[in-house]
Parts: sequence; C-alpha cells; structure tokens
Amino acid sequence: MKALKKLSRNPYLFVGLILTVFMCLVTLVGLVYTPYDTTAMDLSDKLAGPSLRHLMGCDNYGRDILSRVMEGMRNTFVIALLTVLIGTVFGVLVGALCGYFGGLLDDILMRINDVLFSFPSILLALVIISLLGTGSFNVVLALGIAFIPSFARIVRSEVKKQAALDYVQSARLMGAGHARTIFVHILPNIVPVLLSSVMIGFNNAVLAEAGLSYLGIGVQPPDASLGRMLSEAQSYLFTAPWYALFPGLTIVLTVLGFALLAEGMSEK
Amino acid sequence: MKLLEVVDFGIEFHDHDRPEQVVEGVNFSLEQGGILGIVGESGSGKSMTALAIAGLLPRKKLKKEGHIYFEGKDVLRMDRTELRELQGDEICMIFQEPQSCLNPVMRIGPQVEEALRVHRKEMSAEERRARALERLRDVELTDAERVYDSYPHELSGGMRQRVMIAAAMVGSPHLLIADEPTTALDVTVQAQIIQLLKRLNEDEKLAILFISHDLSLIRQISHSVLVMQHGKLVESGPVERIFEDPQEEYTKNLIAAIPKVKL
Amino acid sequence: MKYFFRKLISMLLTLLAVSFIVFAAFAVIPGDAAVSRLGSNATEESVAALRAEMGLDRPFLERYLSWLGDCVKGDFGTSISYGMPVGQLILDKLPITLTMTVLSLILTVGLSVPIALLMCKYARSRFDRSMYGLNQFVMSIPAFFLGILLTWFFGMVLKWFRPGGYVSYKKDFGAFLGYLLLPAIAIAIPKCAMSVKLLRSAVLTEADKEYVRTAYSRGMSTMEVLYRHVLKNALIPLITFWGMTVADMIAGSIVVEQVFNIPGLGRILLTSISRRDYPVVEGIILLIAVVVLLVNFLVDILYRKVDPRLEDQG
Repeated sequence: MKALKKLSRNPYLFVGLILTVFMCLVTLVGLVYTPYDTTAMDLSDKLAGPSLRHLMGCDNYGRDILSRVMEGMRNTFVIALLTVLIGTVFGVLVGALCGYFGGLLDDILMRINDVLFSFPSILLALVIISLLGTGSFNVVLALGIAFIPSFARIVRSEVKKQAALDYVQSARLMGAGHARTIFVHILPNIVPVLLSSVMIGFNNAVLAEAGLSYLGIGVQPPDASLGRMLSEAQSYLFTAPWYALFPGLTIVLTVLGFALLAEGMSEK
Repeated sequence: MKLLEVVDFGIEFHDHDRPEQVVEGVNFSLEQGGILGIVGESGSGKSMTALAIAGLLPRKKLKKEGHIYFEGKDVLRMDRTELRELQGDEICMIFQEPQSCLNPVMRIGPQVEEALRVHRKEMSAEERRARALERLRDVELTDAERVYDSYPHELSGGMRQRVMIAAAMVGSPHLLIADEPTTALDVTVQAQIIQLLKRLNEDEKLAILFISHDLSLIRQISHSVLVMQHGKLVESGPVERIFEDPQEEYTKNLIAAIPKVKL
Repeated sequence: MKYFFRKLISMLLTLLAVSFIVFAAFAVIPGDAAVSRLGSNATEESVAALRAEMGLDRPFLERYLSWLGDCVKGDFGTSISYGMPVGQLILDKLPITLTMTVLSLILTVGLSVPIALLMCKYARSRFDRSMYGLNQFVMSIPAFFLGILLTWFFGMVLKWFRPGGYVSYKKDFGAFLGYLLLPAIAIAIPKCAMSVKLLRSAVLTEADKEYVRTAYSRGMSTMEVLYRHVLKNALIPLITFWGMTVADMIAGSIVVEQVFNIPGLGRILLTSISRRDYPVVEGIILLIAVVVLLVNFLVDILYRKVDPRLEDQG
C-alpha cells in the first residue's frame, strides 16, 4: 500500500515503471513467441500498412514488422545488458583500485581514462570494431570497452569519498585487508550511485547499438535489429513511413522508460 | 505623515498541512530620519517583518495580514510594478552575509550601480560610474576605483558590507532596512559599520530599521526599540525607556543577559 | 598566463599519448597492411618486399617515431582505397563535419538558454511541468531517428527540400548551410533537451542564493534578475557539459550524415572501416582527438574567465 501511494505521488517513477515493465515483457515474449516467423517472406504483403493481420505492417520483403521489432528488441536488450555488464565489472575494478590506492597508478590510469572518457563512446566502439571486425559479439566487446571509462570515473570518485570516511578507517584498524575493505565495506555503499549509472549506461548502450546497427556495422542480417530496420526503412520512407516509425518508436520508448525510472528513483 | 506605519501586521505560512502563524498583530511606526531597532531571538519574526516591508516575501504559500504603509501607500496591496518602483529607490535593504549577497561572478562596480540602472534610466554610464564611486567613498572605502573593478572574493568582509551599504545608498533612499548587518563581522569592524550607519542617518536624514539579536548594538544605534518574541510584539518605546525601565519580564531577562564589560 | 601554458603543455602531452595508443592499436591488428594491400594470394617474397618498402620490418618504436614525425609535418600517409593522401582527403571533408557541429552547438546553446529560463520563471507551474516531461521524451530520441522523422516531414510531407540533396561548400556556401540545417537540428534537439534539464536545475539552485534576493531588493524584474545575475552563475556548470557535447556532436554527425546522405567525414570513415583502409581511420581518429582535446582546453580557459574566483588559484 505504502509503495502504491509513493508511486502515485511520483509520476516519473510510475510511467517509467509501466513503460519498462511493458518493454521487458514484450522482449521476454519475443524469446518464445513472435506472431510470424521473423524471416518468413511473403511478397504479396510487401510494404503492407498496419492492419489487424500485421499490427505494424510489413517490410519490403513482406516480413511482419512487429515480429522483427520483437526480435530486434531481444538483440538490443542482450547487447545492451552484456555491454553494461562488461563496462560495470571492469569499470568497478579499475575505479575501485584507483580510488582506493591512489598514487601513481591512479594518476596514470585516470589520465588515460579521462582521454577515453572525453571521446564519444560510439566513436570508440567504431574504432574497436574496425580493428576486430563486425558482428554482434564484437559490438558487445567494443561497446563494453567503450563504456568502461565512464563507470571507472564514477566508481573512483565514490570510492575516494567513502575511503576517507570513519567507518572505513575503523574497518582497517580492526584488521580488514584491502580486498575485504573494498569489496565488503566500500562497494555496498556505492551501489545506489552505481545503480543509477547502470541504468543510464543501459540507455546509452541501447542508443549506441542502434546507431552502430544503423550504420551497418552492428548486428548483421538476417538477424533483426532496430537500428538496421531504420536504415532499411529509409528507402521506403515515402511509400511506407510506418516501417521507420515503429522500430524508431520502440527505441524511444525503451530509452524513455529507463530514463524516467532513473529520474523517478533519484527523487525521494 | 509617518514614513513607515505598520498596522496589525501578520504572516501565516501555508506550505505545510496546517497553516502556521509566524507573525501576529504587530504595530509600529518610524519617522523620517529615525532609527528603529527591532530586537528578538531567531524565530521571533523580526526578519520576516523586515522582508515584508521590503516587499521581498514570496507571494505564494503565505498569507499577509494587516497593512504596511510606506509614505502613505500600502506595500502589501501594491502590484509588482508599483512595488518594484519603491524597491532599490526608496526602500533599500542590506543583509547579514555580505559575502553571499554579492554576485560572485560580477565586478563590484556594476553591482553598486544596479539600482541606478533600474530606476534612473536617463543616467549615462559615466554618470552612473561617478555616482557609484562617490558612494563608495562615502562609505569610507578610500581606494574606491580599485574596489569598483574588484570581484567580491577579493575584498574583506567589512569592505563587502560597506559595498552593500554603498549599493543600497546609491539612489538616496528614504528607508534602509538592515537585517543583522554586522553579525557576520569582527567586533572592530562591527563598531565601524555602526558608526557609518549613524553618520549616514545624520547626514542624509536616512531612516533606518535596524534588526538584530544583539541588544548592546541596538542600544548604541537606535532612537527607539521594538522587542519581539514568537512573532508577537512584546514592548516598544524610546531606547532610554526600554533599557532604563523595561516593563515586560521578557525584556528584563534580555537586558540582564547582556554581558557586562568591565572597563 | 602560467595556467594557460600549463594547460597547453598538458594538452600536448595527452595528444602524444593518444597518438601512441592509436598507432599501437593499429599496429597490432590481425592482418598485415602489406597482405591486405596485395591480397591473400600474394607470394611470400612480394609481401616481404612490400613490407620492407612500407617500412613494416623496422622495430615498433622506430616506426612510431617516424610516423609521428610525418603526422606533425601533415603527412598522414596514403589511403589504400582512395589512392590519395589521407591529409588531403580529410581536409576536404572536415569543413562539412565542423560546420554541422558548430551549427548544432549554436542551436543547442541558443535554444536551451531561453527555454530553460522561461521554465524557471514559471518554475513548478503546469507549463514548467509539461515542458519538463516533453524534455524527458525528446532526450530519449536518437538523433538519427529524429533525422529520419525530419526528412519525412519536411522533405516528403511539406516538400520543403529534396531528401538526399546536397551542395558542396565550394559551390554555394549558402545552399550548403541550408542542407546542413536539418541534420544540425536533428543532432541539436536531444542535446538541447539535456542542456535545458541541466540549466533549469542549475538556475533553480542559484535562484535560492542570497545575491538573488539582493537583486530583487533593487527593484529588478524576474527576467532581469535571471538574465543579469543568475544566468552567468548557472552557466558555469553548463560550460563543461557543452564542451563534452561537442565531442558527442562530432560522433552524432557521423551517424546523422548517413541519414541525410551528406558526404562528410562519416562517409569516408565508414568506407575506410569496411575496406580496412587503416591510414584513413587512423588519420580521422587522430583528427577528432585533436579537436576534442582542443575543445577541452578551451573549456578550461573559458571556465576560468567566467568564474573569477578561480583566477587567483595557480
């Protein structure tokens, strides 16, 4: 009851929660069921408009757009989650080490980190992909690496703040080792900050993946991806504007849901 | 006609679930060229009253009762435009923290001139500058040109409060409201600022509403005194009468609490 | 002045580090540049000969230094697929990307300041709240999708321009700017929404400060107080954000260029990536790094100009 009351007072949290839950549900359903086979072509339905049979219409090969959007969401979610995972794990490691120990290591790593951080992550990912080659796995790797600096930066400053506090000093006095101090005492205290940056990071990953796929160097066909659908849809913008609209709107609503959720959670 | 007349003034807060009366039934008046000291502890409603006279209380979330007549016109019933014509021109105000009352990224000069920019649109930039420099010298800032081109963080606390006074006096107002103007300053600087305010009062027939929690300061500067507690007026009268012959228990306690300095 | 030189030297050192990272990254890639130029069925002797000719058989550090020396002289090598000097190739396209970035920045700053101030004037009103919600929505739209929507609406529904059209800046600068306007808008709008959000909160934080009350006590109107006093203080945190945004805008322009079919840096970068034309990729990355570092440097200098309190610290 209390939680419900809190929700009704916080419209951002409310709308964000509904959007996010809805998007996650559609994605989960997409894992086991799509209205049509995502690769089944039916040329008689080529560029058909939205109807009861095809809720979002059909693409230039007569494939059901809704089914492909669902598959695209799945790919996007998986890539974004793995990206954030890589970014968080390595970011926390680097950030915690630098923030906790400081010194020369901190100076050097953070110097490099700052340069990488001021470089747009999508560009960084582009460079890494140009070295590794295209494909979903390489996209995850590239984006994951590109996301490390932002996490490292946040974690470092938080750890630095915490390390100066009394409870850390007393833990050290009571004989806790460095590793124990970092992982048992400090890290749990920066979870709230980390959580909101994970959500923002997830959004950035969704946007970056869509951008890379739009450029044709992300998810490769025949796998569906929202970004790639947008780039294909552009040639039929005049005859079938819905082809671009639905995948695009899916990206917007996914990102919006998480953004509102993060916004709502930061408000007490 | 009195310069300032406050009649049955009250303030009610409405930002919580239950309305809260913070000032109630306050009456007093101030003559042209007089100095009225308002004394009370924090939360006594003295600062709220001062802000109301200067027209600086927010319009929402609180209800103002009664009347505040300035030169015969009710400040509480004025619209924003009318009020703005008074503010900075006829009524000026200085505050406790000169540090935070000055815009940190703006030079002193433009801040001192600001009231002229708002109210004397006919003045040229040179005239404004000349007037500001004159006022800076009036508040005993000898190096006026340097101060004019300084940023607030480059000045000492006492200099900043002098700057605030110069900025308030730049348009020759009739009433200066000083809300704890010396609380944040050293004792020696405090005495200098009090002397300065007294001189401005005598030289320019400036009326001053001096608000403080410090009775000895009030005694030094005021012609008459108003004691407030819990948003209500305790007693008021000429300064000698209040200090020689206090009527109310609360006033007596306040006076007894003044530290006696042996000379 | 001392600060200026210290920052300048630190920028140059960082640039040196970046150049080393870039060179090292491209030196360890799987697949030799000589092999990729000759094709995989080339004989071992011809590969070795080309390696010697390209200087690939020399030690790593020596290769880096000579490469760096060439870069400083403006020689970024020769593009394998375009068959022309990388420097010239990039220099030809740079004005397009830079113009788009500058246009987006102008739009972002120019639009976000008045919008944010208007929201602050009516803070917590229905107008402010609905703008805040709209803002949150706009922030979630990727620039390239916005570009597609703009193309559809202005190009196909209203027919104000021909989608996919472009005029070179060498031919007609005015028309060139016209064709870059929509892409710039597509890049600017989400960034503008972010600036509005940050600026609004910065202004509201500043508006509670005492110097604002002092300004009101002088009889100034709300808008005067916001513009003359609050804005300059609230802009201090925004300068950093806008500085970082420039880098994002360059990245954004590479994607949005494709939406509007504009032959800028993005196109040659993407082509070079798919053709493994590494000298071009290296050159573009290095160039963007220079721009990003230069902007950071300018932000540092500007920051101190706006906030006089920093000036006295060494």
